[in-house]
Amino acid sequence: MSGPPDKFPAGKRTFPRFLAWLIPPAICLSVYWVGLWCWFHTDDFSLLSLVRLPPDEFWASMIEPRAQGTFRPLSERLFFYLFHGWFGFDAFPFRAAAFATHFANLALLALLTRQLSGKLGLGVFAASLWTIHHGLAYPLTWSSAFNQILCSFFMLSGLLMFARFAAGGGRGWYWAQLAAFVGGLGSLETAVVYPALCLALGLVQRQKRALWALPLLSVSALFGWLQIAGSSGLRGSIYALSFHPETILANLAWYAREAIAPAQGAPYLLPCGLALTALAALQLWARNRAVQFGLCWFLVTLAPYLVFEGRQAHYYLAIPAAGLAVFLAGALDWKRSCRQLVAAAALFACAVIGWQSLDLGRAVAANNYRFGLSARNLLTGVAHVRRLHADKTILLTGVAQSVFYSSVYHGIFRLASISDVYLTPDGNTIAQLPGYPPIAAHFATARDTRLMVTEGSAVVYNASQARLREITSQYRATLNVRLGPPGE
Amino acid sequence: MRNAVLLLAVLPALWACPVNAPDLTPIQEEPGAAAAVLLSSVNVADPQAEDQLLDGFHGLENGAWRWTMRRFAVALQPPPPEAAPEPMFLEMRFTVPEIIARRFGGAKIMAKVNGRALAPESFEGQGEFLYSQEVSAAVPGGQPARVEFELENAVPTGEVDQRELGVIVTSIALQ
Repeated sequence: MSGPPDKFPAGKRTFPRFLAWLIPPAICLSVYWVGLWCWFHTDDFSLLSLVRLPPDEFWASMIEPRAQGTFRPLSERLFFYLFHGWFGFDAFPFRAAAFATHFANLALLALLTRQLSGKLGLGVFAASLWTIHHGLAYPLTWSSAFNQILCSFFMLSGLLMFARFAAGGGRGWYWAQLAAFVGGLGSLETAVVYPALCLALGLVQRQKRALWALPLLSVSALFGWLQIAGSSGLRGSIYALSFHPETILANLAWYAREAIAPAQGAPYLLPCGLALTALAALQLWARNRAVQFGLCWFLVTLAPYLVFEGRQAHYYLAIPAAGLAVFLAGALDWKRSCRQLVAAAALFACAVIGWQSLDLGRAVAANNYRFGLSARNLLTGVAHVRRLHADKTILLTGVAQSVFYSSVYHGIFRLASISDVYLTPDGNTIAQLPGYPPIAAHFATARDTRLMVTEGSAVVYNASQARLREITSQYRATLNVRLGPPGE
Repeated sequence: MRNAVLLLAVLPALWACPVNAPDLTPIQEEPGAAAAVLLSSVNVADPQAEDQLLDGFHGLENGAWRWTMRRFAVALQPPPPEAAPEPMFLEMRFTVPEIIARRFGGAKIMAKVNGRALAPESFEGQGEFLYSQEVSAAVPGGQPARVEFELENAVPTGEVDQRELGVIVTSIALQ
């Protein structure tokens, strides 16, 4: 039996090596640079509202489950509480914290892959492939998805500490990784699978202390029980859990397909899937540790998302994509497998996944940037209007559906303590989305609109462009055309 | 460790990057309480005509056209009586895109001018079309007209887009 390395490969501190560590963060910035500048949008406003509660109410809510039955105090409530307290509505520090944590994650994944493959180059490659995966597009451009990044950090650092312990390190490593595990659970419920990853890591490295992962299962069991109990009120919602094999297999197929070739990449799905299957079979048979652990990581970290009956999301692939990256980096190790064909298949799969991911990831990043920018412009504009017209109702027209659901719907005006803002009954293209609570309360009625505009107690602004444009006189002159004759 | 410190040192420097600075003055006030000037012909890409798009028009795309919802409406100022053509027509230039043609075979358009219904008109297949109906009786001189369109079919919200999708319109006119 080939023994595992007793400790991390030392590696010389040479300049090229230093540069190698910079490659994944540099690639990350080149793809998701815009993520540093994304303002708040959608669920961010709910979290900001929560952390602006009076302190006694806020701290009491720290461990209450949110709408989808999750806890996540570290990555959501505490993160928003601290950063909002320090920086207010400046989103950059939120984004910078996410990127800094992700850069640490890239280094940790490179270390883990290097430990499994013995090669720094493969570690850097795995981290680079992970960082361009579209599963990270949301976490890197949306502060509410920071939970994926923070959870990855705790899981990766915990795994490396567990590996130290399993390789014969002191008990301190075990307690440290336990603390990281608990931190992971406080960040995202996906961390519940951490003990399985520890066990897998220990087993692929043939470490006797691998079985020390088993006691961690009791922590997972307790957390899982709390989570399932907390989600009992979610029946009928998109977050309802289903352990039916049909649901699990359908979700597995969807996530596997989306991880490889999302949307327009469908023509590449079959050849890429075949290449990956062949790689998995050959490399597992060749006992390639990086491939074994990468595949295990992908499936195990995906498992918690397979039981959602009505919810599939690309950003749930953020953590599993790290396993896919380790798997592919390991498969590139052709000296180990002695098959150039295998390496060629791995390169083909990497190219397809990387190319598809770049397309989708950049589109998601650009969208999130636009959502944030629209929300910021709208809020800035409405706050300015409120200063100009302190005692008037503000009516908005021309609000796009995407802007509405990424800001107004989430109470953006209430968050900034601006009241008496409504959308006009005409001039907006907003449909009631299925599964969302009624949106009628955001609109003024035709009768009220006519009354307020006629008597001058409201101002009307068009919000279809970046700047709000006042159209009160125009609106008043065309009231009958817009709302129909009086009395209708 | 040293690498991580270097990377972290770069991030605060980015804070001052101009990309993060507010880029626009927040609002544009009306120049005065001037009476509304409505056009008799609306190009959906024309910023001056934007306020005449009353309902059901999505955002401008490629600087030239807009998707509509199933129902959409526009305000048009009829030409002055002395310059009004006889007969007067309501004309809409629009495109039935492939997705609509494939699902519904084309588009059937019903319209009302100031509440008075016009004859429905059907358009087969995909492509660019001109909707044209006589409206002389429905348009009193001088008063702005509310023109409402309704499509027989549209792609519902959430099926291919988060928006309800009807047809693609470039211009609507009374002439």
